[in-house]
Amino acid sequence: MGIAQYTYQGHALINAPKIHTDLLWDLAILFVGLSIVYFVAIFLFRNFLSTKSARTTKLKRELSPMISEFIFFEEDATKEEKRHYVNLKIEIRELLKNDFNRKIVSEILLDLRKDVSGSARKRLFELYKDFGLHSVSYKKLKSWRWEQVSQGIQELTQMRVAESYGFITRFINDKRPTIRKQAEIAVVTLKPEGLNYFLDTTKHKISEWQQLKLLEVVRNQPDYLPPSFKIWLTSKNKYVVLFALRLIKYYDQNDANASIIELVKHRNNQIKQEAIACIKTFHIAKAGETLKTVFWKCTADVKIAILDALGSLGCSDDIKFMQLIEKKEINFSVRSKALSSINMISPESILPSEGILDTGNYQIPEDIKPKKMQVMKSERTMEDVIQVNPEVLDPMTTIAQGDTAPSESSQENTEIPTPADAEALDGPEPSGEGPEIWTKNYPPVPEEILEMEIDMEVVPAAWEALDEDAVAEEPREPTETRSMGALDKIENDSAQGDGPSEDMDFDFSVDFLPIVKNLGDPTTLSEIEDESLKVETPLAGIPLIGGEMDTTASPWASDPIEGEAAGLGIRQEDLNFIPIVVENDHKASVAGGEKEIDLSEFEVTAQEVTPTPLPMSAEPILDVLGLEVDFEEIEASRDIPSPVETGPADILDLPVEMEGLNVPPAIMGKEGIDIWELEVVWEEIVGVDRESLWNIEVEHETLFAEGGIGDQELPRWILEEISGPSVPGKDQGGIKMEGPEWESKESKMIDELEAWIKLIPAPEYYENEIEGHMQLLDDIELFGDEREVPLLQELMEKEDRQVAQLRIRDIMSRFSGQSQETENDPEILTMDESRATYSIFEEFFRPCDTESKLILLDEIAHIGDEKELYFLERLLEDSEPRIRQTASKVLETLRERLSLSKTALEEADLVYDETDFDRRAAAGFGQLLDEMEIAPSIAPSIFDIGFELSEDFGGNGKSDTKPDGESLLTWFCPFSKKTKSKGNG
Amino acid sequence: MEKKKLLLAEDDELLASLLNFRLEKGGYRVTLSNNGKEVKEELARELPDIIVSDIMMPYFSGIELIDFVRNELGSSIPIIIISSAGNEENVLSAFELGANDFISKPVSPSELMVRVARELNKT
Repeated sequence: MGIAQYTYQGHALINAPKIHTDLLWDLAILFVGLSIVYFVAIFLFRNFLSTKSARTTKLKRELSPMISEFIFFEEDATKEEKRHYVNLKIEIRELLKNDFNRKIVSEILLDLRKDVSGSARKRLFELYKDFGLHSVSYKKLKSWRWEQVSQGIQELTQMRVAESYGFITRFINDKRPTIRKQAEIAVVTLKPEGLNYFLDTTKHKISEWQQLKLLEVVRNQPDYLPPSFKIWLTSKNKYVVLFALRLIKYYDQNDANASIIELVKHRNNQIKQEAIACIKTFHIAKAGETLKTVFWKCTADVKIAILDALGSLGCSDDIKFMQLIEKKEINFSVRSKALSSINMISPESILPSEGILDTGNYQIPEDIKPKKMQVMKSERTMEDVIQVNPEVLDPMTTIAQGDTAPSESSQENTEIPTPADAEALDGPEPSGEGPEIWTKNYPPVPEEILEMEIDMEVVPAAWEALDEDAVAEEPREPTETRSMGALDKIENDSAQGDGPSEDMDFDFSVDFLPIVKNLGDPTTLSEIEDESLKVETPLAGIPLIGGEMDTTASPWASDPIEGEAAGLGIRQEDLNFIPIVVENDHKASVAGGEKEIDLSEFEVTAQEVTPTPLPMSAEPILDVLGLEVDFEEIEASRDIPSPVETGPADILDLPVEMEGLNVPPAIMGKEGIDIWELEVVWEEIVGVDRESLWNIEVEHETLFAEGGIGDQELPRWILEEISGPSVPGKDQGGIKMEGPEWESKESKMIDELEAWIKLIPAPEYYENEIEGHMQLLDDIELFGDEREVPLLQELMEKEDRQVAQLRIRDIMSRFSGQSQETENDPEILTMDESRATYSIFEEFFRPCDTESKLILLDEIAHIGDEKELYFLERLLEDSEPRIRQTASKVLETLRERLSLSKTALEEADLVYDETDFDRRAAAGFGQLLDEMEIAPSIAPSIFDIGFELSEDFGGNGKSDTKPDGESLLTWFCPFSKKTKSKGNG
Repeated sequence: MEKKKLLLAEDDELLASLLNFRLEKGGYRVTLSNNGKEVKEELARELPDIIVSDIMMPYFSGIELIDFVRNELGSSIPIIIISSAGNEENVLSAFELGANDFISKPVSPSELMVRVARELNKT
């Protein structure tokens, strides 16, 4: 036991600490509780999600046919369809009052937008706005959460809400990149000018992907007219410049060459590359120098781009530059590109060298030599070409350089390689014969020539026969070529003294024509020279199209010195029939003289034209006044007989200071007629003298019938007018108004005046004490409404004066029938009244087509009330005749119905209590819903209506307000609550 | 005149509903199937005058549907395929198997109507 205890104690040192069992239980319970809460939360959340999803799906299923109905509603639908459409519209408006429903409808429309195209998609966009869903997206734009804002922008963009353009533009420079990018796309999508605005205002980077998306948006815009993007090449934002360059290239806007060339010097490599790409695309040849200038400071990629551009638009002048690059550039890719660019300018100048075998030591049997030659041709190395004869790449270069003292190498280059050269290139020639050597630098001899067995006896004779024809022939149709073989041959000949002399001047000007000559004729070259000299220089400007001459086909070219084609045994004399095609660019090199035309050295015969000032006295001064003016004399109408008295115009008698006018004497004309002497025809107006009007004496007698208007009844001015006491000069012997005729007229006039005066209401003068009351009544009439009726009644009771009572009664009666009166007089509508005349149908009416409007009018006839009267009256002036006619009918019907209901109510002597009204209103509303085929129990939210559909039970033309001042709305509220509670069971 | 029977196989319920509405309005008796299984069942029950089917459908793709109709049922009823853009390979396969026409998404319902009418006129 003791041992055991000891043992236990010894073990106790490493045992776990004692934990209270209760604590463990507590912890266990806690974790179980937590896990339960956790699982319950998950369960509830999942349940919530699945319920929501199920609800969404269900709602989508319910709504999608409605949306389809809206999308495919057509103008030529039947009346029943249109009625259904209107009902659907009302129904969906009710549904959209619920946020969840609105969200679902919005989702449906956005989903469908992706799946449909054409007119259906357009209709979707319209529906989106018709349902007012864009306002929800607008709200999202105001959110502080970036994802909400982004979603809002996206929705507005996808549904093409162009009105949102202005709201979205402010996000273009938003600090949040997602919103910014979304806004950029939106701005470009919503309006064609959006791209301009974006490029003008953006301050941020435009990523490559964004550029692609923007370009795609722009590209897909129908009838998009791209602006001139060069205006953004000067932007401070390098990304805008880059994008503008890409757009310029895409839209082929080649009117910004100078700017593009300048952008090659941009420090940004991307811009540089894009500018180079533009240069290449638009073939801006004048950019060559700039490209060469910037080349050495560029990165490898840009260098490659430059070489590519130079290759496509460069000329032979650029080959040297590329050769220099090939020698000096350390980057392999650039060197390689330089060579390929050389080949682009001068095709096949540089041949493949990589992996080419050296065939110099091959022992080839004699009998298969022609085949071997083919092999050798394909096995030369690039070094052979470049190192040994670098400028054979393009002999044109040498010519174009215009070196007056060509270097040794250039001299070598211009020489046709001799067999010795070939030996130097290829090493020891096994056969020791020439044809293989030709292939070193010249295109190969066609196989058929090499392989054919030539009868040397027969051929020369045949060629001689052909020779004559060849000389007589027209020059061949030239094609683009570098016919250097022949020219080199000529030069070589001249060097050897075996042909044209060394000082032969080839500065001829028949540059555009290939020269076809018989080389066998020793005078050929001199003739060429002579003929060329005869031709005038103006022809020099005509471009040459030369035909390529296969130099290998002319055996003499390989060994002209010997005069015998090596390997073939053909003598030079035998090949005389072959024409020489001389290209204009080669003329200088052939001559060995001046190779480049220097314009400054042209002798110009000129005559200096110096303005020689004439002495001032001798210089004729143009005197305008001295000019002789030809004119046709205007015949004054002297001979025209005038019924009126004619005479010289008095105006001519006015004293005019002629000296000051400085009238030129020449203006007198050829015949010297003085305008001052012209006689002017004028008419003297002979009328009544002003004063004599007053001399008319009007004599009259004022007669008033008995009982007529007395002097005191007529206004004084009338009396004065009649008696005419103030007429001046009355007594000075004027016209006298006397006699029975005048008397009858006078009496008639007085009668008329009397009748008019009777129409003027007689002024009412109140006593001072009543004046205040009457003023109050006037104010009440002016500003009051039916609510003043109790006050008026009170006043009526207190008032004992008849005048005031009459006035009060008048005002009361007016207020009682106010609604009807005010409807007829829109000018006196107050705010409340205008609200009272607001018709819910008006809202539906506006966006509808004619057919729908007619249906709505039909509905108004059935369910409309007094509120619709004003609306219908306005429709009587609608531009559409059908609507006018229908509105007129509906107005009549509605008025009849309203008056009938009033009469019925009057007859029934209805007592209005709230309960009774509710009962009748419910019945009426139920009937109304039946008519509209709307089932309120299905969609309880229909009771959240924003407008009132009400039958007027007011009767008597009275307003909808209860006598205690409660409005219709206060009546309606308990009614709707009750009905709703009934609907919910 | 009896209405032509059209089988519309489309898994997107919204689009299916929309096209269904348009086709019914255009005078066709439309049977709607949301997946390949339903299509098979429907075909077993009654052969329509024309089939308009999406290529990508659950259980039974449009390609398989064409194969089923042409080879197993041995029917030559016109089949119009609906496919999203950039799905050329499937479209080519569909044509090889015997589809009569093809319309790409987004679908223009009016265009679909015209194509359906044309195919039915051919037969």
